[in-house]
Amino acid sequence: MLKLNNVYFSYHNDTPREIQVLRGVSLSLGKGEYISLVGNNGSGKSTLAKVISGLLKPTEGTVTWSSKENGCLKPSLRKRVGLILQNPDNQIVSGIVEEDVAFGLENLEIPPVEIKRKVEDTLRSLHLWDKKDYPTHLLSGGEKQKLAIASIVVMEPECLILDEATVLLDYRSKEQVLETIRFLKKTKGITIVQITSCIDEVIPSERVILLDKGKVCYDGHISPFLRDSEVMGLIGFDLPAYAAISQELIGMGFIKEICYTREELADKLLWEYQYRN
Amino acid sequence: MGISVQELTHIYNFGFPWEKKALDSISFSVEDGEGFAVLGGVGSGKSTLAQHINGLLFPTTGEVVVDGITVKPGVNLQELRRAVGMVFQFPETQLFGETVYEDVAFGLRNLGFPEEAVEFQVQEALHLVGFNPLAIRYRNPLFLSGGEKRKVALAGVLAMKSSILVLDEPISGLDARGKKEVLTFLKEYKKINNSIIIYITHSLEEALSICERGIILSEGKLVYHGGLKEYFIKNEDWKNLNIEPPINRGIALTLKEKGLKINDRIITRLELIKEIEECFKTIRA
Ligand SMILES: Nc1ncnc2c1ncn2[C@@H]1O[C@H](COP(=O)(O)OP(=O)(O)OP(=O)(O)O)[C@@H](O)[C@H]1O
Ligand SMILES: Nc1ncnc2c1ncn2[C@@H]1O[C@H](COP(=O)(O)OP(=O)(O)OP(=O)(O)O)[C@@H](O)[C@H]1O
Ligand SMILES: [Mg+2]
Ligand SMILES: [Mg+2]
Repeated sequence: MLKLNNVYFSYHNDTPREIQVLRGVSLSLGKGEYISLVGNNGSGKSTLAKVISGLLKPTEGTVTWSSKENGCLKPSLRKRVGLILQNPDNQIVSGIVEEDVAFGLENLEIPPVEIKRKVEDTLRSLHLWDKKDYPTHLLSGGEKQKLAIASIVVMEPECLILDEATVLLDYRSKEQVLETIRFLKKTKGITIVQITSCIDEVIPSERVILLDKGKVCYDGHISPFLRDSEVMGLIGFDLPAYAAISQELIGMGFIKEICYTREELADKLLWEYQYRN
Repeated sequence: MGISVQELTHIYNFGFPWEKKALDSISFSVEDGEGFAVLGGVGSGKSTLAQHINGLLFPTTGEVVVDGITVKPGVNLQELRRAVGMVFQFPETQLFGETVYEDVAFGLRNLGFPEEAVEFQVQEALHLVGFNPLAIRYRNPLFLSGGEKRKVALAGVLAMKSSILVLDEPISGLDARGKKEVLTFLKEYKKINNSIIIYITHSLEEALSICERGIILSEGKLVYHGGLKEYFIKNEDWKNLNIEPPINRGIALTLKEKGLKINDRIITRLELIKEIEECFKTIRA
């Protein structure tokens, strides 16, 4: 769907020196993939996200979209990539919640009735509907993050990039967001790229891309990633909580395999319990 | 001298459009040397409460006393803010120096520290949050990455060595190593300086690593005040408060729901493993 070929990017706006952030990044994103983009602070994740979404132009290298998809139509990049920025204040453009969510759709020339329906559906799915008339600058931190997510998700981009977009959300709100984007993945086959620093959030993704000092150090399936202590250590990741507990339980002879979710762990334990009984 | 909050109510835009009662008759107190959690879901009133402690907001009704200073219109803000260091939910709102160094030094200079001491404490603070002080000091804080900005904001507050820290989601946006380092450091800081840390978060696991006691807010109301572990052992209404149960209790609960006879009133991994052991023992017997 999208290919980055040997992409370099430098900022020139700060110190007299340029700051080289991306150093030869090559990767491709396929339709319907669910990817975690991880790396230490300052490793270049947000910059890469902006390059993918066309907000920044690479200093060197190319970003190309395969054009033959979707019956050869070439919608604008805005429709193709939806980037939810790390700081929602940089993204909220309207004074009122409902208007902010409608803003992107209005630019896509969608009929007003349909806009209204889509905006309502999205706000409801994120439990923000009761704030629809609220001035955006009076929202709480988490409410702003929900709004930023709503404004992008409502456009149903082909590729959705979440840049630490849920860090201020409580677990119920996080679940609402996950449900909303999983639904889009299932029904529209959208690609999801989530930038996160939390190992437990990485678990449900299928592929992990690790950036270190602007270079891709790992790009592959999640299972080998979790087993590679060197790669995990590079970004200070511990074993996910459930995996650590199950390792201890394996040591004690209660279960035989590492589990990565609560359900999985409970099921394995229960199975062993019943089997031995 | 601690913090005392008595029947604090805050109504935003009182008598105007968008009037909102964000805090509804909240009472609690915090002792010196305590890590104190303010837990609650999105929009529950946490940041509103935080801003009363350093005088950014004043009570609509009720009383807030911080280190012996009553926070009300006319309060000596400089005195109050010398006692209270605050890290905001969005670090951008507190970065205004032209360089990282100037930014972190700002508070210390305001307090009249000699330049030598400022230099030392800035270096130390930058180092603490995981920077190479020499590499970062001349950078413009507004041109940093999200996590780097958060670290500069934290350094600016830590450099002041205030006796009260109010931290609003302080580790969100930090990388995994940074999160662990800051939490470890805060625990030390609290012990060494006998400081109060008001730790605001929606994450229980985070709160547990620094705080023994705290409050839980829901839609502006105080729904719990006391020991965090006790709360999560005794109660189950966190389900309605948008707070995730402790990981280990969550596992025990799921096991119980699936039909295993297990005591789920546990918090630590050790306790969980012991309970599982007990369970399996009954088979072998
Ligand atoms: N607007 C900018 N101007 C100059 N330098 C920048 C700018 N934005 C980021 N940088 C620098 O580029 C590097 C990469 O930044 P980027 O925001 O891509 O990192 P990141 O991986 O998203 O980090 P974080 O986890 O902290 O969000 C950092 O060293 C940062 O200081
Ligand atoms: N200036 C304001 N005017 C009107 N309402 C406000 C204002 N600031 C906040 N609110 C509302 O008051 C409620 C509490 O906001 P507050 O920022 O204290 O919540 P919070 O617990 O910090 O939430 P979060 O976890 O999302 O940061 C929210 O519903 C918010 O929309
Ligand atoms: Mg970033
Ligand atoms: Mg808040």
